[in-house]
Amino acid sequence: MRGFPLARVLVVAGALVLLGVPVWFMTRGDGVVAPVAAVAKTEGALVDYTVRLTASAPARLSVMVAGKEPAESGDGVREFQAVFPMSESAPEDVAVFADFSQEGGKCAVRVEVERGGRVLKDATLWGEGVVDDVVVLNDP
Amino acid sequence: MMRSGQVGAVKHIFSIAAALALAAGPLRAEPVRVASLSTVMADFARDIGGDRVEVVEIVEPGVDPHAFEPSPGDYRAVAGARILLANGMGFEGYLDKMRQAVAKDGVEVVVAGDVVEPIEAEQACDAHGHDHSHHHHGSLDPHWWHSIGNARLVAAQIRDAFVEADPAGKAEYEANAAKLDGRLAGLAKWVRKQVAQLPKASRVLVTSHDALGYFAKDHGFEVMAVQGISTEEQPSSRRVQELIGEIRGKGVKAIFAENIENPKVLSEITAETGAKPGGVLYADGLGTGNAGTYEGMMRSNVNTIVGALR
Ligand SMILES: [Zn+2]
Repeated sequence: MRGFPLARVLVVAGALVLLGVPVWFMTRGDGVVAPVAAVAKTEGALVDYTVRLTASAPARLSVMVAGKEPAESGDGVREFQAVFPMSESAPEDVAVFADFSQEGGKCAVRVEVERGGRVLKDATLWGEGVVDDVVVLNDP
Repeated sequence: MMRSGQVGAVKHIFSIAAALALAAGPLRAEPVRVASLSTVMADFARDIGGDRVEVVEIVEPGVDPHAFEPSPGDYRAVAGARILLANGMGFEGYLDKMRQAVAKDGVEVVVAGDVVEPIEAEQACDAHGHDHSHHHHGSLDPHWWHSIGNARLVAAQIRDAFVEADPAGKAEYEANAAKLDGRLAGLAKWVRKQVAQLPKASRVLVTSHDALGYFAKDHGFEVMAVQGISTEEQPSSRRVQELIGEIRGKGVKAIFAENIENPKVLSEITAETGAKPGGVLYADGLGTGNAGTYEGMMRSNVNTIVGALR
């Protein structure tokens, strides 16, 4: 086994390349699997959820839902509504923000969430200056 | 004008009064000695007890509480306490033994498991039967503090125990506990707002051991843990392969490590699935620095989770 170091290196390198080709073919598919499955996880038909806010005094109102553009009213409104298409089985949390900074004292905002004409949630949030919280639709 | 004799007498009276005041100082009773097996309960005890209690942490932050075994010195410290705080639900495997050992010393044992809303431990470690130890079907998940609702219940339990042990401090304990409860309510709202940024499909927590079940239940996460409910459980290679398949299948973005101990396979799983390391979670209690308080620990965990999965 003495004598031809360069030849031996070449033989080993060749063997590695030959081994590598089938390994590459066997494993290259893995990268493709994840995105397909990720799409599968958000499956389920999307349905419209209407979020209706009613403020106790003029305010700037907004609604935020993960992965969607937030919906915002102008200044000094008492009512505001927005529609979000979301999964029927696993709707996102609804974050509500009401800026009453023109008002003094306690203020409230009523949050109603409706799907297909049915009220899923009817909650009233209280606070001073800024009222914000999250409405969870199907309790985990 | 007073004569010098009168001045002397007045001075004398003042010095007697001063001495009396000094003597009256220690009339305020010795602090209530509280021993704690839970870093979270110790934090609440310090908040609620203020100067009236002295908290001795038997299990300290950064120590793996699943592997912890009390020393004879720890037993002595507990025996010398008025109140012992414990998680219960099997978290401290030695609790019954300790309870018996200190029964004659009149130690009041306050167990979080008596007041929290428990959830069942997931059968995460080995659904296939073999290689398995600590938890069996029907056992409870002892990591109660990852639900802030539970934390508020336990804070009230500690307040009540302090009032009973030291009725003179009632007003102080109640005021401190009310402040803490207000902060915990604020913390819960902050967590809701952070988590609301995550779409439901992204709410998957791949962790080292199965400690975040309460957090998951409160906020609609699915937990996939490498180990079971205890850090003492080691995963079988079959379990690891299953997990790798599930992580790929769900397109999970990040895998979380823990501050105390991580199984070697965690980095292997991260490498094999292409998920990124999501950061370090405080799973088994408080940490140090910013995570040295309950509120800091929760904020750190939530920031890590939301930051990595968003
Ligand atoms: Zn644990």
